[in-house]
This record gives sequence, structure tokens and C-alpha cells, in this order.
Amino acid sequence: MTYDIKVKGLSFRYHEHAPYVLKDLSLEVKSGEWLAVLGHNGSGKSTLAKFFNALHVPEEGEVMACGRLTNDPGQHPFIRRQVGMVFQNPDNQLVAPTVEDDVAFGLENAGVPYDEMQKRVYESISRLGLSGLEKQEPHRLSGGQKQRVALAGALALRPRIIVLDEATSMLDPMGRQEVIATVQKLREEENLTIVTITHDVKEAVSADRIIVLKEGRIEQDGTPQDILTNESALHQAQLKTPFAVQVAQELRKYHVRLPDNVLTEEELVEALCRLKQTTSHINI
Amino acid sequence: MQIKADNLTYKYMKNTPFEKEALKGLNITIPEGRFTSVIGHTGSGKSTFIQHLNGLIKPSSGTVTVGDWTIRPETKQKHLYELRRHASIVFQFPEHQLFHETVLSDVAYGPVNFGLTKLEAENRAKEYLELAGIHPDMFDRSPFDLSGGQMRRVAIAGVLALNPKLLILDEPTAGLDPEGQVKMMELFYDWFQEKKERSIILVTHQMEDAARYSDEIVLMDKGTVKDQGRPHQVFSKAGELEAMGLSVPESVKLLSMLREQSGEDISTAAFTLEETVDQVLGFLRKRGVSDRV
Repeated sequence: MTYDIKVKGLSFRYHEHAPYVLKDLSLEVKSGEWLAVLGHNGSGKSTLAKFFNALHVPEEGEVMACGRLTNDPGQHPFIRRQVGMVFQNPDNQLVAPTVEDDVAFGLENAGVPYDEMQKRVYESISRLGLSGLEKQEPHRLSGGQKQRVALAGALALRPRIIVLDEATSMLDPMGRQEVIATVQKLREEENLTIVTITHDVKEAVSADRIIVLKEGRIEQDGTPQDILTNESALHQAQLKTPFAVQVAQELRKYHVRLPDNVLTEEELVEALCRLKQTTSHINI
Repeated sequence: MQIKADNLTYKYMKNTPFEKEALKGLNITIPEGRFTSVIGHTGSGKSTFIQHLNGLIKPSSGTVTVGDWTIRPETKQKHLYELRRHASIVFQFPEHQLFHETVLSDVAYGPVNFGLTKLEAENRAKEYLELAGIHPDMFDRSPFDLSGGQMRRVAIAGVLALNPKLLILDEPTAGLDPEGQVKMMELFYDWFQEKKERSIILVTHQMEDAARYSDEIVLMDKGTVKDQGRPHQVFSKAGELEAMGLSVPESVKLLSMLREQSGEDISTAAFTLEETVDQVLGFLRKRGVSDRV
């Protein structure tokens, strides 16, 4: 088994005397895995993400990204090309006058030859469904489009890991859906390791694995099925149980026999219709 | 304050090649003392509309009346100064507008500007900071040392301290975690309920909030009002809303899906967990009852 990210005994605070934001935290992310990091505002999840591409480097404990220790500044160029980040605010991460220039920005900085750069820019733009918008000014795009441009820029560098740090929290529902669908597509088509940082449980439903962060520690670690149906654990972490799970749990109190793996509205409706068809009479 | 828009039209970058009509002859009346949510797709004109309500922008043609003030294309700014004491807007990410050295002086800034003495303003600032859940320990700290959620509370306390009659909120919970969102909405709702003449206009994509707190929902599309009514009326048209690129509350979405897939007549007028569960139980019982009883 290869691990793209290894965190061992990581503790961190922003300055001396400040409280610890991360506390003796250890974590391994498998190559090709989609990990969702859940936690409320201030739980330390965004701070943790910044260790993955050496924006923060550990003073206590160690972090390895793609097999390299992030403490060594000599490794930073390599690590940052391997670990692409997309941040929260779509307006703070687009820099160039057009979409294609923006996607090319990272490649130019990395010194990729012109012909290769052109190829990668258009490849990346088309993979993210942005074809036709090459000459557009980024500020005229919708929030969801802006975040996909940011993602295209990160992908053009052909990273092994993509980290989305609350990349959907400032978008409207359509934009949010757009970005989540894109991540799901990438997950299916590419051999990428994906880390999504979020406080929206709905975004974690299709991940392979979820960790729940609280006060700088990992409180829960498991499959979406384990974590998202555990109402008390979610509540403790100040997170909201998915609505379909809440409804299913209420219905079970009325002895409605629903399968345990209901996480989404689609799955619940499916289960309810099946139940009604197969049961001649329901005693509730 | 009652709000009334008559044939309200607004054009951005008027008389340039980039001219864009954001509001197109919009007509609406919103009575005083209501909690009204304005929903609509990004670009539907929601934000343009609410910026008229305290005179931040003026109509290109038509009029807007807010309480005793009527805003026309030719209305002078000085005529609107007084209106802004009574109608306040909380913009998206209001924490970006904090600027003072301490939390207390930031919140007291508005009241001082509107004529209170420093002491009166600080007393009022303290009152609203506590209401917003900011502990007195933080009053003398720099607002920039606080967490994002706390900063937003300070910024909102600054608006509430102006003691407006009409509070206009543009996506006030965006970016907050689930618990922070609930607390923030409760803060506004408690404020709203405290006095009969207070009104709230909430612009939001959070349809659950719109459904739960509003007396009325205003649906905007392409610069006009497409629908106005009580939450269960507006949200009963789930298909129409989705065709406009809007979501519906989770409860409505679930029940509409169930209705569609089962082909049975299920009401979607449910906005809480209990109401949703009741509808689902009703659906399950239907045949069971005829078989057993």
C-alpha cells in the first residue's frame, strides 16, 4: 500500500502562547483515495490542509507528502507541484486576464515549455467542461465556473493530490453542485488522491473515507456509512446529520424497516418505494 | 416600513456598450412588520433590488417607496441620508467591513455618526455585542484577532446598534458552519420578533431558512418578480423552481421525489423533520390501512 500523505504526531499553534490548533495528530491518506475532512469552523481542518503542500511546516511531528518530508525547504518545489490546492474564495485565486492565461499561470511558473504548456492548458480546460470560455475574463464567470478554472489550473500541473479547502462554501447551490460533480468525475477518470475539506456533510457522501476533526484532534475515522449515520458523533462535532439520514432514523422509530445504508434522498426514496411494493400491509 | 416598487427598472453601465438591464419594470408591495425572503438564481436581480431599499442605488426609471421615502431617478442623495438610519443592509461577508481598533469602537462607530454621544453609543454597542453573543472580554480586542464567525457577529452587532426598522440581509450565513448558521438566524429572528414594526428582507440560497422563518417568499427571475406568497405556496412548485436553477428545501425535495417515483399523491408542504416524517408515514400507511382495517 502506498500513502500519498503521512502525518505523524503533528501539533501546531500559530504563535507561542496561542492555543494549539492541531494536537498530536496522525493520519495516512492512501494513494488514489478520496478523503473528506469534516469539522466546524475553527476545528483545525483548514490549518491541517496547509501542511499537505508545505504552506505550513511542522515544528512538532512530521508530515510527508508524496514520500518527501515537508520540513526540507529543498523539497518544496516538488511537493507543491504534486499537491494542488483550491481555496475557498473564488475571487482570491484567479490572477490572469483570461481563463486560458489563468490556467497557464502555474505552468509558466514551473517553466513548462510553450508547446507542452498549450497542450496541457486546453486539455485541462476541456476536462473541466470549460471549453468555449478560454478567452473570457475570469471575473465575468459564475462562482462555480471560477472554482473550476482554479481546479483546471491546479490539474494542468499534473499533481498526484488535489486538496479542496472549503472550495464550495462561498458558492450558490448550482455552483456547489457543479464543483462536486466535477470532483466526482475526476475521481472516476483519473488516478488522483483527493482531499476535500468541508463542513457540509452532503459533500462527504461520495468520499471513500471521512475523518471528523474537533479541537485539533481526529474524533472519528471511517466510511461515509459509519460516520454520517452516527448522529451523536456528528452532533458532538457540531455538524448536521444529512436530512435523509435524519428522516430514516425517525421512521425506524415507527418500525419502518429501512436498510442501514441510506445516506441520500435518492436512496431513501428508493427504499421507501421498494418497501411499499414488497409489503402487502404495513403495520405502523 | 412598507416597501413598494412601481415599474422599477435599473440599468448597469447605462449608455455604454455594456449596458445591462438588471431590473425590468418590477412591481411589488411588502407590508411592514414581515419577514420576507427573496430567492432567485444568481443574476436574477435580487441584490440590485435590495440595494434600492436604502437608496444605495437609484432607479433608472420607476420608483421605490420605503416608509415615508420615495426614491426616484432624480432623487438627491441628501434626501436619502435619513432613510439609512431606518433601513440597514448587512452585505455578504460583512466582516470584511470591520476597520476600527477595537471591537467596541467598531460597533459604536455607526451610532456616533448618527448623532449619539460617545458614551451613549458605547452603551448601545455593548448591548448589541452581548446580544450577538460576543463576550465582554473581547470588547477591547482588535476585531481582526477574532475568528471568522466572531468577526461576522461583531459586524452584525454594528448594524443592529443603528436600531433600524428595516433590516436587509444578503446571504448572512454564507460560509458559516451548520451550528453557526442556526445561531445567526436565531439572532435575526429574535431581533425581528422583539418589536412589531421591525421588518426583515433576507436574500438567501438556503431554502430551509427561507421556508422556516419567512412570512412570505418573493421569487425573482430575470429582473422581475415571478412569484410572491407564503412558503408552502411558493415551494409547492418544486419543478418550476428547479427549472429556474433553484433548489427547494430538503424536505420538499425528498417528498417531491417520493411523489414522482411512487406516482402517488403526496403533499410536499412540509418544512420540518416532523412534518416530513408524517407525510412519509401517511404514504406508507395508505395501502396498509385498507388491507388491515
